[in-house]
Amino acid sequence: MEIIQVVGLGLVATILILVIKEQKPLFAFLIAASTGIYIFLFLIGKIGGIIEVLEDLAESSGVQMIYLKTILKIIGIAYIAEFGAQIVRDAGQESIASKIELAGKVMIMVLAIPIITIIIETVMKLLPA
Amino acid sequence: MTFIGEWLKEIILVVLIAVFIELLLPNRAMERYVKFVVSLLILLTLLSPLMRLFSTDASEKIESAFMDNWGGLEERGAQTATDSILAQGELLRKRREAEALQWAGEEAARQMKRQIEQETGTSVERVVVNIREGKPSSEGKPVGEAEGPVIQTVQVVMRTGETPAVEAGQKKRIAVEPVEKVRVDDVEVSAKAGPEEESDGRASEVMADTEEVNPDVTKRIEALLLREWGVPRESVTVRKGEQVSS
Repeated sequence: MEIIQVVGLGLVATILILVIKEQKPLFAFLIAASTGIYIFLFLIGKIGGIIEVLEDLAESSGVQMIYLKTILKIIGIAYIAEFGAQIVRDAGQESIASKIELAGKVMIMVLAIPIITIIIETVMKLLPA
Repeated sequence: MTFIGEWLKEIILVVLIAVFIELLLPNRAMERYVKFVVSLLILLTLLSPLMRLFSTDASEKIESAFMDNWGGLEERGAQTATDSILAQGELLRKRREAEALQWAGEEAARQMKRQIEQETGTSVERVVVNIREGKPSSEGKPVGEAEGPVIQTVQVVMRTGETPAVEAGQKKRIAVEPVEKVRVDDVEVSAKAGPEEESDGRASEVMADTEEVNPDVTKRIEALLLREWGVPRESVTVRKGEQVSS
């Protein structure tokens, strides 16, 4: 039933924004942002459950925890960057939103650097000197 | 066989998690990047037996590599890295300062020896200078050297076996010849200079030591050290070599 809560909140917020947008665009933006944050916070608990299950799985099957941590970090970065970018985009600042997304992409690539390093090192060891 | 089984299990799980992650992703903008990193991880998993073959501590190396890199993203990691680097720097600095102090002590001792020989005409076996790092809070220090290192003790050991009269006679000769060549082998003068904070007992002991040497020479050495080096009179020890005093 939680999905109904989320959808209802979204609908109410949308109607409010439509009503208020003509008079006070700033308040409309504030309502949109706070609704987004609320839904996000609501989802964080659910995502936490999923991540716990994933961690248990990985631990029981002997996958290196460092892999899982990397993947989780990637998800976190993607979500946060996406969220911020969307709020900013709603306010009409398309360029800032794209910069936020760029930052998220760069952060994800930074996480890839150690993996690339290790793979290249292994391949170099394979090659005859 | 168990090894292959574990390897397969690991691969399957990483792929499963990767698929799951892709479902979780918010939009398509990030998808390519996330796919890239996840595929690298899968490749790493596939390569893991190979890595284990080549290096025994593969997992440790992976972990250290990840930790190094995450230091940039995580504030805490960066902080610890900075702290450790700072600690190392502090250690190096202390070692270098100790070396510098030691070197300065040796150099000061050499110069003191030359000056004493020139001034008094006696032959000095060795001069030992102890330099202590200056502390800003310690009292009784001259205002000028509030922070700098301070000469703690000066010990002048004269060569033994020379009477004052002979020393005086040699002094005249020294005025002509280079000092280094006119060393008399058996007189030792030992002088000790301490910081101003030094206890009275130490000073009196020093005075007792100086009794052995010609008081005139001792006085001159003390005056010289006070004038040239700012070493307080009571912290200079002048004593004869051990053959005579024992």
